Amino acid sequence: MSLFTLTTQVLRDPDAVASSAASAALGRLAPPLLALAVGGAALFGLAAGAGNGPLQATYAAIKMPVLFLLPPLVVLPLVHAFAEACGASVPWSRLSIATLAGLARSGLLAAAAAPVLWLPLSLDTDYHLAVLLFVASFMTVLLPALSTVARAVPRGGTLRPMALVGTALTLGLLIAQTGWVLRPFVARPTVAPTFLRAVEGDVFSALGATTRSATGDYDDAWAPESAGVWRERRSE
Amino acid sequence: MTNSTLAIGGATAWLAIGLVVGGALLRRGEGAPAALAAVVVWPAMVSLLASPPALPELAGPYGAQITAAFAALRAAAADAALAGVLDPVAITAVEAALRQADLRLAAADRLLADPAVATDDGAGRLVTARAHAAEQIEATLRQLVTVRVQLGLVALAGDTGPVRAHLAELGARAGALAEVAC
Repeated sequence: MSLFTLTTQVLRDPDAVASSAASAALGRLAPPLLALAVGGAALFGLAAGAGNGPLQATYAAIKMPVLFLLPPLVVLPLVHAFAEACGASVPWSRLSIATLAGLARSGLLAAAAAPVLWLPLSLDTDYHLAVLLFVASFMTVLLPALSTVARAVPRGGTLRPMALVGTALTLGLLIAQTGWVLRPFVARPTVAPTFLRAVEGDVFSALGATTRSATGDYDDAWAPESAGVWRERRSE
Repeated sequence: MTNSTLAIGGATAWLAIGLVVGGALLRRGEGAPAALAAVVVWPAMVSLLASPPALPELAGPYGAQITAAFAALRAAAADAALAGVLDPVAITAVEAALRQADLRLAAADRLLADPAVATDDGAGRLVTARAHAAEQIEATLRQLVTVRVQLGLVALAGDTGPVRAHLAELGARAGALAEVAC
């Protein structure tokens, strides 16, 4: 199957790709699905960082595929365990190929959304608003992947909804914190391009602070408090 | 420990595990693209290590028939009423033996396509052996249909003995294919 045919199938009917759960299909489909996910995510990263110059755009393009792939892959055993515990048994190969098909679909959607994200970010949008826009766009393009994985879990388990909710919550937390660790994707306009910033606090305190700032409620310490193993404070 | 050290350490560990999984997949006969993908997304690919080794994608003159016959058999065996009657590993073993015999047949055909080989004095033996091997493959394919018929009887009568015995016989026949084809 050519990459073009697979792209069409992933967009039109990702469940059909996900249901080809034989091990041979996994080995055959994984490389092109991975290429679609990585390529799309890199384009999305390029758009996210483009407002801060080519160097920041390159950094973001490198980091975005990691943010796309790492949390779903790390959470894969947990999804399997949740489903088994809730009586909705799903073969590992089916879960794997559904995850990759979902990520490929999200990657394609991310590539399509890249110009939409780039446009406001290139128009000197307020930094905090740009961050919120980026987070909202990222969450939107990731929804198809979640949906594909959810549909891969067979019906029949009495506690299937609980397994899906548990999976979505865990994945959401993992994606949020991974994104926080890998930031900046949208850099502050006054700061030089940076690959990774010092880790401070967690994503939720930062989102709260940036939401307040976006609505004009600035305070003297918008940055989150240092916490955890990285007890470092921003020097600026 | 700084953030950079943690990040580099984590990435190195991730890729090291990926290399191990990718190498194991290569040794099991998976293609290089799949092994390369496993370096990056090894949690999704690790299940391939627990599955039966990949069958060769090359096909001989009976390739399409073998694919269709085993797809039909697996579909029948996957029916909820017939769960556990047939051992998937045994089915895969029979298929692998049949495909190997089919590939040997294709190799013989390629040799016979060469006029120098076809006109050799010993070519007659090769033609006879090829015809015999083809008969055996066709007979095995017919027996697969019989196994499906017996699966239907199992669904109605519940006696799994004959179908298991038939599959065991198929296994033996498939194993003998190697000797016939040689």
